Amino acid sequence: MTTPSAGELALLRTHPQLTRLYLSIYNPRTVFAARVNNISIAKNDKVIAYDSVTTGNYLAVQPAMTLWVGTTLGGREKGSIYVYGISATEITVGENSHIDWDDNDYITVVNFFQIWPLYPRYVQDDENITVYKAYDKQYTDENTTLGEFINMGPHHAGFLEGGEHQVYWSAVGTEFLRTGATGSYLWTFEGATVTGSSSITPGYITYDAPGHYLVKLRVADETGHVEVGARHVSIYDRPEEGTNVPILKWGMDSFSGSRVEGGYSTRLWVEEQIDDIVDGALVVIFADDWYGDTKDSIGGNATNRENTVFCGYILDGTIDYDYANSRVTFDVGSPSEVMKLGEAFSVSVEDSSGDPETDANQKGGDPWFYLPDLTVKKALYHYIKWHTTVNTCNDVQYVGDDFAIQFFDADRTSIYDALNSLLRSAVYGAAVCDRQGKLYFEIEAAAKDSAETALTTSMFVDSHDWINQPQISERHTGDLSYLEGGGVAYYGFIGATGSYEAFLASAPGSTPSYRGSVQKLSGFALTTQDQLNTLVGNIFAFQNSTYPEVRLDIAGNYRVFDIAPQEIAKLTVAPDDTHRGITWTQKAFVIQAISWTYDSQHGSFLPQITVAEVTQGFAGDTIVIPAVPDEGWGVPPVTPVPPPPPIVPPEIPPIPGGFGLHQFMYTLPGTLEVNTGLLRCYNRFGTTMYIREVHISEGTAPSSGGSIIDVNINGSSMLISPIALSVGLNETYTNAFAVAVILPGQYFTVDVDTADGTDLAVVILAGML
Amino acid sequence: MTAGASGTYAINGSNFTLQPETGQWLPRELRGYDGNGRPVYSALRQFEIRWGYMSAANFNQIKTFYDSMGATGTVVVDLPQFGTTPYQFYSYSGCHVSEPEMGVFFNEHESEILMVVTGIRT
Repeated sequence: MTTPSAGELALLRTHPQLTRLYLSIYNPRTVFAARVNNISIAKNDKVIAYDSVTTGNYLAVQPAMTLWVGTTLGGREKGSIYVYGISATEITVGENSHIDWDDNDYITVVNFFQIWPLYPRYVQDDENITVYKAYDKQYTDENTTLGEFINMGPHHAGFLEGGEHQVYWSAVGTEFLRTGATGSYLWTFEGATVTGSSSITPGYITYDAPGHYLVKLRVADETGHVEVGARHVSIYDRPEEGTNVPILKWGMDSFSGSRVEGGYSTRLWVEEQIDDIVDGALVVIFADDWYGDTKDSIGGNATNRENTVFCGYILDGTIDYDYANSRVTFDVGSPSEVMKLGEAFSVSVEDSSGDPETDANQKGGDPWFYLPDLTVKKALYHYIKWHTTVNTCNDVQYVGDDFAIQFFDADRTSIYDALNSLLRSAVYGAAVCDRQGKLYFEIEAAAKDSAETALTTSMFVDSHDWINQPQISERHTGDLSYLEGGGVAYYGFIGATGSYEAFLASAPGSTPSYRGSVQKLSGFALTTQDQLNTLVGNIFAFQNSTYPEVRLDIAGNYRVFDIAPQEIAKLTVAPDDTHRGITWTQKAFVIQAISWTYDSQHGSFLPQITVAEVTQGFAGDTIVIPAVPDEGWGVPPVTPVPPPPPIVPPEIPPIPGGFGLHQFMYTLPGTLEVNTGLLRCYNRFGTTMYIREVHISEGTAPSSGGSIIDVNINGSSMLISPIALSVGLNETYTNAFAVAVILPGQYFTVDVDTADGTDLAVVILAGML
Repeated sequence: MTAGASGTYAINGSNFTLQPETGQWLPRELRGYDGNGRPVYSALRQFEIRWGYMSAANFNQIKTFYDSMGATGTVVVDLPQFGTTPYQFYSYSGCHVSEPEMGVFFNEHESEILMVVTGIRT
């Protein structure tokens, strides 16, 4: 979104307005064509010998150009791959297994640069691992010299006007990742009236013939590191003025973009025989605009490229052929959509003490794994530079504060997800492409403190600017009751190791609101606890904002609106503007989504914008993280384990006796006398018998010492200690099996060893097992 | 927009062999009303040209006009100028013409012929 001047704002509000859109599909020129010259070539081959050159010279081939493989001249049905390098006899391409190479296949190199993932290679030798980025790039000093986010403007298409067309080129906005780095610029303009420039801003470059051209920019820093950007230019005759015209019979079914999706997509149809409609083809939609009688184009983030409406690529697998109506329909997406289609391998980078080589020697691994002063921005650069060709094909800009991090780990996922996930988790940000294809890495307005003033105000929108009723979603109860956020403030290397501190905070505070859900966010890259408290408070406020969604049908061709970078649109709504009587005076909103409608018959190109209220929360509360125990977190604290409950033994059923359990009772009334022989009982059962229990009681008080009773088997004492009886005492002797064995034919008796009482009673329980 | 050279209905500088019986500016499409209640129209107008009865040769001419648009995408149409006095013809460039429609044949002639010129910036 760009801020219109007062004059532009007046034009935007001038009616009637007319927009004519034109569709350009880049038709890449063949740079080099030859045939495979290797009778034993096989799948997975990367170095391709060639001969039979039919077009061009190998010296014109540049790394990252696109190579087609087919069975006919110019064919591409066997696949395409990016060029890595070329010699007089061999061309080296990216790692591939999807191309079934054959001798004499036709190979065609075209001057077209597109987004590819670049695969690293890991070579293990015993315990050492060597990493090669982009197959064979071994580490030298890349993580310390770093490079640049190239900014050179979007792809372009336009008409010759009076025999020429001018395109504005500038590299202002190119960002050097290394502090203090300086650079030089070298532009080459294919097909233009000048061949090149060494200025950061060559300004307007003139083209005087229709065609499809390549513009390259080489940015070199003082260390010799070179970054290359490539853009494509298509120049046409106006339909009334020549034969090299863009596609005329086409239409736009839909065109929309959102920050959630990370860019735009459009559904187009064409009713012409166009060979260029293939997966991955570059599409540029450009415009002639009139506001009243004034022909002018307003909007777009690229300087002096206001008539470039959209840049994108035909998305793989979306081309549909309607043979009945001779119509081809296909989807075109922003570069971010293409980034979703290509998956790269996982990537790990760790903050370095200063010298990646030293770190690799001390900690293991490869120097590629260590990047000094690692930050979110540098991690993003490392990924897109060494694992994709995004930096070659797109303007890239990191917007907002950068934060130190100790580690960056990307899963094996799509290019877009890897970038967006880091942004989302570390800074609550997003990767979003604008209409013209520039990729912005931004911190969301929700996470910005004082966002209303921190972000640029682009437009003051009032009742002049919309048609129909504003559609306002109003929320009085928050969706979120509690937000817990956590992260790490990484302070870099202090001594030999990285220093960090972990923080936790909650919003709205320690007590959740009474409606809504609970959300936890982790992985923030922080600086202080206070910063985290503010951050969670702001995110909580944004997610519970009163006006999460306002949709406006805009009255004119307001291409100043875009989904990236985030800028403030201030809305003024009078009570009469809505049935609810809502009153806003320059209330701050930020654009979340835009949907465009193009009516070619009536020449209107109108957006519907969806905006969200910009909020300012209050700081959340600190959640105290428990101190690290003395033994460290590495050893989990030992929690005493309570003893298990006593095991209740199962009840043992009475011992079954083959002959049952027998009870023997003896009584000896009157005064006891020593060696009184009580009943003698023989075992006549023919099997071993056991005494289980012996109960003895005495009826009267003993005069001294009491009586002592013994049970004897075959005359030997069965009891370990004979039972001493006191007055009225009942003694029981149990568990006598072990000793009270009565073999067949043996007998047991009850004998009085010491007599001192009267009325003895004895009960013996005995039986067989 | 320039003054028409012919002073009559013409396309790409060629007069219609048979001049239309009626011509009519159609209302512009209303996009909606802005927040102040002002109607917002599209910029382009349409003009209807009608004939009640014409020969096959005359019809072939206007069909050729339509076909000629295929090569360039647009045509220059001489029409009565919109909203000016005195009544005069102007050449409107960048216009499109719809495929001519016709009714039933009558006595080896086409009847009820309609052609719509679209995309006219006035």
